[in-house]
Amino acid sequence: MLGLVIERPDHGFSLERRLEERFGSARFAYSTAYSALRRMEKEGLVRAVGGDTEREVVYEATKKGVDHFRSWVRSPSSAPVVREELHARIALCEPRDLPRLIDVVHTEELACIAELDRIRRRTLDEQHDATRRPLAEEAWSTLMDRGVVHGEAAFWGGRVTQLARLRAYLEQLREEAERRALAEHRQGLADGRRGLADRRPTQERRELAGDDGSLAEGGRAR
Amino acid sequence: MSELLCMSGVDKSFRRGSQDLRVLKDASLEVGVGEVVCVLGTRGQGKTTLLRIAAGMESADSGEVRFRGEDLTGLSDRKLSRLLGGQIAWAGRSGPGGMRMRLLDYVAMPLLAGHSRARKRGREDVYARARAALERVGAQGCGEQRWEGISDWERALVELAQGIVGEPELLLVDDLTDALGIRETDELTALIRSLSKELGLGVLMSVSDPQATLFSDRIMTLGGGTLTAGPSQEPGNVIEFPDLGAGRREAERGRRGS
Repeated sequence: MLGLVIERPDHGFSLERRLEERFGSARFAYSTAYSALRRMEKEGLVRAVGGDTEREVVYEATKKGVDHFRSWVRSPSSAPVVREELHARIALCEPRDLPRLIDVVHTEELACIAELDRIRRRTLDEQHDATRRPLAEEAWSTLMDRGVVHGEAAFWGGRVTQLARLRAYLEQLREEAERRALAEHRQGLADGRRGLADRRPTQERRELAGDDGSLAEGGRAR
Repeated sequence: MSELLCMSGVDKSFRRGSQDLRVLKDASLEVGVGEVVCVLGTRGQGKTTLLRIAAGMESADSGEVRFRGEDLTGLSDRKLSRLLGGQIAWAGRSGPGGMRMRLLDYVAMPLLAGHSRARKRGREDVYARARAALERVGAQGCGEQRWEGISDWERALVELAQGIVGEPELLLVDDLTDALGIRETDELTALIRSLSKELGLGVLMSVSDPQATLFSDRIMTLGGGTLTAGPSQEPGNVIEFPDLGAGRREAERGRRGS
């Protein structure tokens, strides 16, 4: 937010719109922009000038704000914390959950394609002419922004392709689960023990990864 | 009708050892005149197979592949090979292989191969066209060079020049951006887009790099045998996204204001 104010002093509502345009995929809450502006004003990083009402004032950065922002830009970046709910669900699922989980993965794929598509539309919005200009003639902000756009595209697109492979793997497991269920059913008919696998899901998975190397390893090797 | 290529319900499997590997399950797509469609997927997900089927180079196990309404599966080899190199062209990353030749000759190959509309043209005309194609993509300096002597970026341009030299209606671009950096990827895909709009060329492009999808009209993904379409699309229509985007933002602004 501070960076946007430094880039160009603006009204609160315009800043909110610019935040959405540039960092839409971060999914900020509705009031994020305004609460950030108020907090930064309290800390003396920005000041509100010109006008009495919230709609009229323009926010601009103070010297302290600019210094604070520069040091943030140059500070080291830490590895992001990944809390992947989907992975936890897959780790703890039972064979009968597989059809639903495959749907869940596919739905998430669609959501990621939608994000990639949003970035694509923004690219076309901004560069209708699509002419190739030499580096020296391109606006600095455009050059920097392309790096961010590509980073976001790589994130969502990379996620799509990973999810697609995961879904293919889950589909293999579903087929395998069906084969096993059938085999156990036959076995159960033969010696009167039935439904054992359903009560021991953990062991079932261990067998999948361990005994049947052709499935688990073969799938990955391809 | 602006529809150029229409695939529907295409299945394709390969036999790998004792298992059947289903590369395409019920795959459907359309490419319209002047439209760039991207298929995104990692290696080995069947992108090239999809393109080969679209080109008639390979047949589907089931389903329909139509080019300008004509079913490719019913065509003779002779007709198919006339189509490929004529109305349908291919741009991949193979280069001239082991053959040592001037790149001007390489670019001219579709015209010299004999199945092109340009067959009856004279030698001078063929080279004039090859030079014009190189110039159009901005690789005029590469004509006298050889494949080994030029950069990855120039190679991509040369392949693209070969793709458009025969004035095709449909261009299949197979992973051309693979070896390129961010800026070059932007430049190449923007170039493909402007060629498509300028020549009314339908482009079906396979990419393994999501960043190469940004200048397309439509994104599809291929993985686990499923070809998945992105949002907001009407088959066969070229949608003007700048207007849509503005409308969407306007709507959001209105919602927020109230």
